[in-house]
Amino acid sequence: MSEKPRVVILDDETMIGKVLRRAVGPEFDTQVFEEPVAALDCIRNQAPWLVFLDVKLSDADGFEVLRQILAVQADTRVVLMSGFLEPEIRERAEREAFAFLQKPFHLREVVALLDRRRALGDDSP
Amino acid sequence: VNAPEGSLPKAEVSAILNGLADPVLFLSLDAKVVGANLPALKLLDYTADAIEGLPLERLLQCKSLAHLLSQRLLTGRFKNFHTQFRSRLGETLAVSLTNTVLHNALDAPVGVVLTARDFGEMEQLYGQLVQSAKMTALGHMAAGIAHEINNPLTSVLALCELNLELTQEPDLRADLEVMRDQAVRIKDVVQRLLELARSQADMRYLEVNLNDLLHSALSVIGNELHVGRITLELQLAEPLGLTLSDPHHLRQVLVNLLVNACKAMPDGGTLTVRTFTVQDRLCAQIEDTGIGISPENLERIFDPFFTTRATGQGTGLGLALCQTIMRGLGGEITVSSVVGQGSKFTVQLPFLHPAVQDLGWQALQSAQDRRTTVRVDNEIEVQFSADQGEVAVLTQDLGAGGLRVFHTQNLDEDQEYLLKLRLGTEQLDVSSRVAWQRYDAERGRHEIGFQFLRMNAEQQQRLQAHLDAAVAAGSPILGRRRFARVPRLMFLDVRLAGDTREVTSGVVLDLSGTGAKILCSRRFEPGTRLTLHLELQEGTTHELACITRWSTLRSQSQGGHRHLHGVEFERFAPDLQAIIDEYLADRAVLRQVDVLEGLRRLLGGENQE
Repeated sequence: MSEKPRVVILDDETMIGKVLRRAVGPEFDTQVFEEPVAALDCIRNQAPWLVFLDVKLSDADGFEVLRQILAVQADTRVVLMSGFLEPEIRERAEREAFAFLQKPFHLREVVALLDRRRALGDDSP
Repeated sequence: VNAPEGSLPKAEVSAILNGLADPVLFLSLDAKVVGANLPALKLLDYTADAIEGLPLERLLQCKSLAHLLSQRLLTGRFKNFHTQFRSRLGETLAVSLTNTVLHNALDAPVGVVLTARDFGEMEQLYGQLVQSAKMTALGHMAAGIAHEINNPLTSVLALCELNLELTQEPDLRADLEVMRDQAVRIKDVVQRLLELARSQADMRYLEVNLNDLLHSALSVIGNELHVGRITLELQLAEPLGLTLSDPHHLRQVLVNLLVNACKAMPDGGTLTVRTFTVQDRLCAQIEDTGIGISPENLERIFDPFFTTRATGQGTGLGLALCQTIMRGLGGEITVSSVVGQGSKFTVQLPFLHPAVQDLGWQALQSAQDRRTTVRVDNEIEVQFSADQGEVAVLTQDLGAGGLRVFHTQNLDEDQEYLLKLRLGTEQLDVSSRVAWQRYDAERGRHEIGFQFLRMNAEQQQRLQAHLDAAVAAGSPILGRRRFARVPRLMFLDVRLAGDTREVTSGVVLDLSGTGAKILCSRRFEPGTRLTLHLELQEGTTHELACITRWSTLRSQSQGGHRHLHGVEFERFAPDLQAIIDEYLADRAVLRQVDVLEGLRRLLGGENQE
């Protein structure tokens, strides 16, 4: 597959999407969404290589969106992100999603996540 | 005055009065003391004989007020009147007074009862209340703003780092690095604020040896001592005995105090660390010969955000956190200091948390009544199958496979016993080995720790469900703890491959979580990707992707070294998880000793190579 792997970012904060797109880097085809409906459409149709999802969206709960994502594409790898520091959120995210990313994050943490995803091999269709 | 028919005999009245918590004075009509109960004598520091006949004004700090009160004793009625007592030695004591006039059968006044409430204690409590209200308000605020701060901070931090990668221009890089470091500082402050807010809620009680904990905390500041030319003096009481506390939080307090002590001695000095016991409390004391704290700062030293350090040098949250933690642990932290000479912080802890202590006692009492089986509130009922007599049980830390029992007689150590646990209406038989025991001379009982040997997944689940129910029902002791699942430790033959080289042939696994500890001869950077070859059945190898999380060097007595790595797995594929579950269910809980033997075998084997 010669196409760039697709990364989807869903965060209601515009700046986070922009910054994270740059952090992920140009070797990925990154699409940024601020609300879940369009993001879910994209995920259903394109089966992204990795999804970054904020736990607290202005109009939805990230865990619920995660459930919907897994319902449309069961093997989607989702990284849940949060600015909340409650360990319960981290624990739940690590249990239910591919990984958890605590905001604010360092660049190297994003790079490490991409490496982790690569370690699984390319199982995108 | 003769007691009227049906009233209590004098001895009993006196016993009741002495049993009251509040000081009570009996005054004649001319305001002279005719008697005082024990709390009053204690507060005012008089003997019963010495206080008798004293005019009320001798006991009050304000003479004119004393005069007024003496006159109004009969006619006036005062309730919770705030004033100050004067002790025998002239000490001022804050009290609130209430008077009651006594009448005889003819309704003529015969005397006055003056009840004093020790207000000093109330003031102290009030102070604590204010402090705790401050912390609660802070906690709510912190949780709310953490998210609001962390989101914008994400952009700042990430953009700094992205641009640092883009530019080689030295001035710009220097600026960006400052911005990045300051952003990290904000991140840390928010983190600490939340820790402060949460510190009370999330206590996990375990047996703690304060001396061990101090050694571990001291290892953190080793470098500060060396660089700061600070001499360490240890005065640790041995043996100190164990206490039940939260080791993680307690260690946090100790590290905080040790670091503060070092910072107070910029020109070097002596750091003295002591442990000792005072009555039923364990104490750790950390003393420096540093700059000291002025009296006005001493008053505010535990307030959140109070700091004397230069802006940016401290968050002002460290000691506030220490105090919140210590109160949460049923202990206290105190400080004394002399400017120019140094400061002394003392941490006090109860030997056993009061809730636990009571439960233990209660259980033992009922044990003696019933002989064969014992019930401990809504917890677990235990009896031995053999003729070992009665036991009372206090569940403790099932996470480590442990159970602690209070017992009236000695058991054979390292001997296996069958424990019959009664969980509500069900019964669960578990085989256990006596892991340790000691005699508590004061209480005349043995404390025995058991290690569960053969508890399979199903038994584990039943026990956990029972404990969960007890927690939900508000069991006084269980609610304070968290019972993790019994860790599944085992020894497997595996190969670990990083890059192209094979690095080891043995591993200790805890597959119930996602962790594994791997012993091998080479060091990996945390974050290194490795492949784990897992041989669960003969001839069938499963491969797992994993990432190293931490790495440490273990010295061996033979002079060799081994690296111990913590490894985190990628999520197991469902079919592999099923295989692992089956494998574990088959073997129930593997004995820790197997793991040790396995390690020994592994090390021995490698040494011979």
